[in-house]
Amino acid sequence: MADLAVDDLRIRLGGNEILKGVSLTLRRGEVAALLGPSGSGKTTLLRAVAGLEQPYAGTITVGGTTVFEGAAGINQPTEARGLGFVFQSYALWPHRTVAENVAYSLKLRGIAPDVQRDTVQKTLDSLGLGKLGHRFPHELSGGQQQRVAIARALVYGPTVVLLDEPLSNLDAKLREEARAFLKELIERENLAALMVTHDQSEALAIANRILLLNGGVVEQAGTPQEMYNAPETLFVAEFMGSNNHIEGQIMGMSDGRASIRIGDHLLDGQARCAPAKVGQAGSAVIRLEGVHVADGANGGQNHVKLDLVTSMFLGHTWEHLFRGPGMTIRAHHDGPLSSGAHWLHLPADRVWIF
Amino acid sequence: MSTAVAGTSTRRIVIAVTALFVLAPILLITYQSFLTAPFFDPKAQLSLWAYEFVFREPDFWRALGTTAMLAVGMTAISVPLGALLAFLMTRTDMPGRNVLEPLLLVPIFLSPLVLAFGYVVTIGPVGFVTVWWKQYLGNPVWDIYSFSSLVVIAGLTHAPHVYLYASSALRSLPGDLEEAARVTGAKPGRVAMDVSLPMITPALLFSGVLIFFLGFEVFGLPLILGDPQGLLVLSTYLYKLTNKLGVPSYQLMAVVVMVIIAVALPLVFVQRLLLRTAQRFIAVRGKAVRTNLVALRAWRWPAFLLIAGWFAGTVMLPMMGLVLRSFVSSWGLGINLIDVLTLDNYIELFDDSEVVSAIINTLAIATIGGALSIGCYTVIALAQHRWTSAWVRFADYIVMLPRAMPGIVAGLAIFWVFLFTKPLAPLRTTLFAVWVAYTLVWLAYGLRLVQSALLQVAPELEEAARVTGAGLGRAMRDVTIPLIKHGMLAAWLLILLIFVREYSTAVYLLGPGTEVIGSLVVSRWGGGAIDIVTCLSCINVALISLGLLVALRLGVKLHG
Repeated sequence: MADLAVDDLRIRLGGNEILKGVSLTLRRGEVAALLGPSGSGKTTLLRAVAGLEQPYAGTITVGGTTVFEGAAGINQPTEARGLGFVFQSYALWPHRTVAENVAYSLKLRGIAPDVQRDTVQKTLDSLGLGKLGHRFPHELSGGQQQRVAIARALVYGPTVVLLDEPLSNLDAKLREEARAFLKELIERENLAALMVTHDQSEALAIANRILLLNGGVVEQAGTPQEMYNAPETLFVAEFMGSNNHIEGQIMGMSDGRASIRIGDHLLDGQARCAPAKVGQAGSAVIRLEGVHVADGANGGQNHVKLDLVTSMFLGHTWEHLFRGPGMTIRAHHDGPLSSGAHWLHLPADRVWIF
Repeated sequence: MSTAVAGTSTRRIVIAVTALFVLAPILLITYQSFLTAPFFDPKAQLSLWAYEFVFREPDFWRALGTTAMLAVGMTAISVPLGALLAFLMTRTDMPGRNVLEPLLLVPIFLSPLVLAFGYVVTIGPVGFVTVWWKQYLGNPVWDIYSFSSLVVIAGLTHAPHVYLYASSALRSLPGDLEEAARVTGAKPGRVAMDVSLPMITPALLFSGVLIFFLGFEVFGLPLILGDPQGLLVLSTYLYKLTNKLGVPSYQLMAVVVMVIIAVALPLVFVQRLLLRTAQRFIAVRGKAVRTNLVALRAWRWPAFLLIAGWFAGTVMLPMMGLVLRSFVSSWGLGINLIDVLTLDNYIELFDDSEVVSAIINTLAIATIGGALSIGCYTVIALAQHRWTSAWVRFADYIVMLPRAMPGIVAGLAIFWVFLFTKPLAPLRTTLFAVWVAYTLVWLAYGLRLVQSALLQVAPELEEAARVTGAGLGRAMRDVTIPLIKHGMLAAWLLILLIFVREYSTAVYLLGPGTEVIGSLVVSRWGGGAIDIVTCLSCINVALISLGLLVALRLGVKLHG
C-alpha cells in the first residue's frame, strides 16, 4: 500500500487552474522528485499535500487515511495530517533555540519533558547537530540550519516528509554534500519523501522517481534513467540535460525510427512523434555528450561537417560550438580542436525526433 | 476539520464585533439626525427638521466656509514647507541634520491645544512677547486671534506630517535616477525640480489631502485662537451648539456631525487610494542607496537657520511661554517678571482633586488603556491575518470609518451610545467610556501599527507550526504573537503618547471620574483658569516628552 497517494488533484488559485488533475503514489524508502519549470504547479502540489493550499477536487491519502477528498468534503487541517515538512527558507522560529524548535512538535503532542529532551537530543545527534541545541537559528550556518529544519520535520516520526527545494539555499559546494546526506538519511529512516526541485541534476541524483510537471499536469513520470534516456515528449527531452535542438522536416518513419532532413543532411533517429507528422516540420534533439567529434570519418550516415566557431574549457571537458547551414551544434570533447571544419557524428540511437 | 472551522468562526465573530463597535455610533448619529428631538425624548419624531434648521443657519455656513478656507490655507503652507524641510534634511549637506531629525517630528506628538495655549501666553494680547514688544517697540504688528494667524499657526504646526511622507519618499528614491540626470548634464537644482520632485509627487499629493483632511478635523487651535473673535469652524461650531437652544440639541449636533463625516469620508478613501499609489512609487527599489548630497555651499547656514527658526517659532516659543507662565502668579503690562515668579501654581494644583484625578486618569488610560487597546487591535489584526475572504475586505473598509470621525465627534457618538444602550448606561460615567472612545478614534492607526508588524512575519514560520501539528490558534499563540512582540511594544508606546495627547475625544465624556488632562484643560480654559491650564499643559508636555524619549531610546520608529 502506498504511504502517500494523490489522485486527480485539482487546484484553482484566483481563477487560474494551477493543477489540472495530478496523481502520484509514494512508498517508504522512496524519494519522488517533483520537477518542472516555475509556474508548473510543483510547489502548489507539495503545499496541497500538506494542507497549505486548498484543492477543489481529487483525493490525498496519507498512510491509508484520506486527508482530503473533494467529492466527500473531507479536508483535514494541516496540523492533523502528521507530515514532515522542510521549507525552502527552513522557516526556523527565530525566537526559539534549536532544541526548542525541534521539541515543539513533541510539546504539542503532550510528550513528557524528559522524553522530549531525550528524543530531541537523539534526533540532533543523528543529524550531527548534537552540541548546537542551545543556539538560536541565526547563530548557525546555512547547512546547519537546513539540518535543524530536517530534524524538526522528522522528530515526531512522520512517515511522509515533504521537502520544498531543500537544497536551493545552500551554496554550490555544500549542496552536493547535502544531497548525498539527504539521500542516505531518507533511506536509513525508511521515509517516503516528496521533494520539489527545479534543478534536474538534483532530481536525477536524489530521486527514485521523477514527476516532471508542466502547466499543471504530469508531463512524464519515471525513474531518473527513463526520464533522462527515454523522454517521451520534446518538453521532457529539452528539460532534462543539455541539448542540441535542430529544426527540420520529417521525411519518414518505420519501426520506431524516423529520419529528418536538415538542409542537405538526412539524420536518422528514434521516432518520438506521431506517424502523421511525416512530411511536416519537426525537431531533432541530441544531448551535448551524445555528439562525437569524428575526425577522419567522411560523410557516413548521421555525419555532418561543420565549422568550429568557438571553444570553451569546462574543467572536466571541453565544449565546442559548431555551425553550418541550418544548424548550430554544441558538443563535448575531451580536448581542444583546431579551427576550421570538423566531422561530427550524431549516432542514430542518441537522436530523438519529435 | 473542526479546528479549521473553529478558527474561521472566531475570525468572523471578531470582525462582526468590530463592525458593530464601529457602526453602532455612526448609525446612532444618523438616526438622531433624522429626529426632531434627542433620542431619549419620547416626543421625538422622524423628520428632516434638524437638517432644515441647520442649513438655514448662517453661522453654520460661515463655519463651513471658514473650515474650508482654513483647510486650504494650511495645506498651502504645510505642503511646500514640509517638502522643503524634507529635501533639506535628506538631500543636502545642510549642517545639524542629525540633531534636527528627531525634533522635526515633535509637533506631531504635541497636543495642538497645548500649542495654542503656548501661543496665547507668548504672543497673545497680554503674552510675554507682546508685552515686552509693547515696552520697547510699540504696538505689535500681529493679532493672534485673527483668521490669518490661525491659518499660519495651523500650517506651521502641520508641516511635519508632510515632512514625514516626503522624506521617506525621498529616502527611498533610487540615487541612480538623480545621478543619471547629473550625468546627462543637469545641475543639482535642475535635478531636484526635474527628477526628485516629480518622483515624490504621489507622496506630496497624499500628504496634501491628509493636511486638507486634518484641516477639517482641527479643534484645539480654532477653539483657543478663533473663539475670542467669534471665528467658528465646524468642530467648534459643533461644540458651541451643545447649548444653543438651552436644551440639549442633539438632533442639530447630529446633523453637523453628518456633514463632517460626509466631507471626511471621501477624503479618507482618497487618502487610502493615494497612499497605495505613493507606496507603489516608493517600492520601486527597496535598497537605500547612499547618494551624493547636494552641496548648498553659501546656503548651508541659511537653510539651517530656516529649519531652526521654524522649530523655534512652532515649538520652542510656545513651550517656553507655557513653562514660564506656569511659574508666575500673574502677568500683564507693567508687571516685573522677577516679582511674580512662584511655585504656588503647582502646589495649588495638587489641592484640586479634579486635577489630581485627571492626571491619574490620563496615566491610567495611556498605560493600561493603551495596552488594552493594542490588545484589541492585535485581536482584530490576527482575525484578518492570512485569511482570504470577503470578510477581510469588509473589515478593511469598516476600520477606515472611524477615521472620518474627528475626536470630538467620536467622543460625542460614544457618549450617545452609552446613553442610548441601557445596559451600558452605568459605565458612561467611568473611565471605560473614555477608553472605548479613544480605542475607536485610533482604531485605524493602531491597527496599521500591528498589521505592519504582522507583515514582517514570514508565512512559512506559521505554516511550519501548522505542519508540525499546531492548530490555527496555537500557531498564532506560539509563533505569530511572540514574533510581533517588539512591534506590539512599539505600537503600545506610540498609542500611549497619543492617548496622553488626546483632548477632543474626551470633551463630551468629561465628568466626575472621567476627567483626563486634555478634556479638563478644555473646560478649565473656558472658565479662565489660566494658571491651572498652563501647569496642566506643562505636565502633559512633560509626560509626552518622557514617553518620546523612552520610545526613541528603544528605537521605536515614530512613523508607523
